[in-house]
Amino acid sequence: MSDLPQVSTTPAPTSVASCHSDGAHHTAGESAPIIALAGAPNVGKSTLFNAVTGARRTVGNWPGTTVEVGSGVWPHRTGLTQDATVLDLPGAYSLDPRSPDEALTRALLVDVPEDDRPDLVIVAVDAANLARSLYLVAQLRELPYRVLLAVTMTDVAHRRGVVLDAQALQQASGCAVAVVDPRRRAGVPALAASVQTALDAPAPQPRVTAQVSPDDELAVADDRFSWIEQCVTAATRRSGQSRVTWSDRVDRVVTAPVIGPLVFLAAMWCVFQITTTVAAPLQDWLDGFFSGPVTRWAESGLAAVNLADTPVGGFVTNGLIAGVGMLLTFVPLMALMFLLLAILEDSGYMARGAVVTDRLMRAIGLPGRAFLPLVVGFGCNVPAISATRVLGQARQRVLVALLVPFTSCTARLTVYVMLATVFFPDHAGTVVFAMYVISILLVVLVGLALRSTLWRTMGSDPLVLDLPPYQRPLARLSLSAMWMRLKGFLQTASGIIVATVAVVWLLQSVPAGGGEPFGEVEVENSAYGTVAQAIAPVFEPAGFGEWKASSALVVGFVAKEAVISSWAQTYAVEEPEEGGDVGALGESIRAEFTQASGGHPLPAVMAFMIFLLAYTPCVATLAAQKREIGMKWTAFGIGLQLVTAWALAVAVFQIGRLFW
Amino acid sequence: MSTMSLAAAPRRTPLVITGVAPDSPIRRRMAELGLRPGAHVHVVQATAGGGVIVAVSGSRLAVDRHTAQHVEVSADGSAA
Repeated sequence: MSDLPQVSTTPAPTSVASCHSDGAHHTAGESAPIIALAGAPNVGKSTLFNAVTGARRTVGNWPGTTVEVGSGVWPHRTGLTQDATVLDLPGAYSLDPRSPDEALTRALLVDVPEDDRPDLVIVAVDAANLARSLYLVAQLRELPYRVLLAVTMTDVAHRRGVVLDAQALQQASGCAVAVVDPRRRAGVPALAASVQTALDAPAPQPRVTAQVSPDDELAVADDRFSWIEQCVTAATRRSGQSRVTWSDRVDRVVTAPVIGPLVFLAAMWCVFQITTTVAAPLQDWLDGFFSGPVTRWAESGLAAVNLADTPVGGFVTNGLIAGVGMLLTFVPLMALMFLLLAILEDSGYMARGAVVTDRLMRAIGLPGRAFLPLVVGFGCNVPAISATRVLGQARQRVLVALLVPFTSCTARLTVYVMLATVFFPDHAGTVVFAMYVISILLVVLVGLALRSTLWRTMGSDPLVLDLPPYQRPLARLSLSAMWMRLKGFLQTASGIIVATVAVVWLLQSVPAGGGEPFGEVEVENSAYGTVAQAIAPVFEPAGFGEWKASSALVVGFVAKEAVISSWAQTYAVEEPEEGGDVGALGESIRAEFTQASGGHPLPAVMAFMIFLLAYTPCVATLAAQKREIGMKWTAFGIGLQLVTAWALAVAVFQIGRLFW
Repeated sequence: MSTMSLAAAPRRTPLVITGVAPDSPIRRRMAELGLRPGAHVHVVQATAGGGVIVAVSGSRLAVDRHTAQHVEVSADGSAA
């Protein structure tokens, strides 16, 4: 690795999401030849990388899937004389650094000292879009590089009536050409043979360019475009210029005014249903499995070694098993979400969705693709944060990942329903509906606020989007993309979730004063109760400055599902059945809010609900955010949510108590 | 020969691009994607939101309304 230190270990300087866990960071040793894999977005570059290295990297039919440089080993048994290191560069149309991805590609191919340059550059070239793929080649040919063109998508080109002559392309471009089908892992041996031949030969002379001043950008570009024109004319034959393709026929429906948005809404509805309705029974089952049998087994196991009623036993059952159980309940949900994402991306529909929603989302200053994560957020914020990957630019991903927590997930719904039934028995439905309206308003307003302050430079980028032809998602690709993402989520989230659950349990078990033994302390007298009491005064201006309310909010920081059960525990009453009579618990809560608000329980409970809507959804969301946008932005998000939630709650109570 | 904007061009008619507004921030990107003066294109259809889908050298590009208004085209005589 010593000859390429700045490549193999460093993620893209511009990337916020680090994916070191995808297992694609390997090199073949110091003397191994280094092969860089470059190409425009969406030409099957990452799929080719996987095909030659066998390493799996997240691949998708969406521009910008590769955000940092992965490396892998191309084993010699495929036809090379020795193992080679392969670098998977991010997608770039050119070497002009206009996007972060292109800047990185340029840094690795142009700005590095000559000795550190890769020995060979394979450019993945889309046969169906030859001209577009060749700009990068034109620029690379101006440098002393061995360039090999790996032609992909010949099947798509064929369907579009484009026939490519590899021999002619080789002559016109001066680069070796190999035809591959990485999606089906075909053509790799031929590619390996071409690679070996190219490596054995000396680097070719750079292309002779027209005599123009290098500062005259337009003239330089014109020279390249005319070289491209020559290559395309020489290498392709067309059988029918403007054929209406099958993709066109589908697009006629799915991007059409009126019908297109309806199709899109139907697709989103399916995603939403699958991530909520289908995942819910699996989640419930896992939850029951961990709180039931697993806990019982652990208890009897602990009893066998005389640890059942000790702090160790409590930690294992209430800290460790509860934490791991919570983490695992997310697995079916996340697996489904990742699978759906992979299918939407690989099929090519995601790009159409972006076209359809572009105008609506632009009106509120967000890119069209942001629609998907925001819709999913109303089911559960955790997969929604991961769904921000559909966004092409890192800045957009950060912005949307910060907005997702303001979408009201179903876990929050249970609390709204309970409180609305207790405090607004005649208008419970209206109150719950209002919470959803407020949630949408929060997303729009916070989005506008962030864009007009932090993201002022994020212009409303014009939409000029390549629509990849539709293709049937391959099960192998979709499942491997799902598995890689799921593994990444578990690796990042496990620590945070288990640790937080364990810490809350520990605080609840540690007595704050003397007198009571560890693990048997009343909540009020535990370290946890002390923390809640210390926080309570903060909520006085919002009308619920009472330790029991703030205690529920602290638990809600871990998971909103736990709010009601924590209340029940605090008041030492039965937890109400879902949708059933809230009886005793309702009475206690009503009394508490009446007292804490100085006789204005209704505005106080409204303020409480607003706070619950706007503040940090749960630790799992934070874990997902840390994975997608990094620690710094996650911390910023927590601050943003707490400030927004508190300010709104105070405003609602202070204004509300003038009327009620 | 009369020119018009890509946004106003008739569908499924051979067109040739005669100009791209120079102040367009993504002029170069459009050139790389194939939308440059001299390119033969045709509008496949109008999209929800007022943009168009353009066929250019075998691929399909979605272009929003505002950007399409800054691309000038005329009927492609050579494709008759």
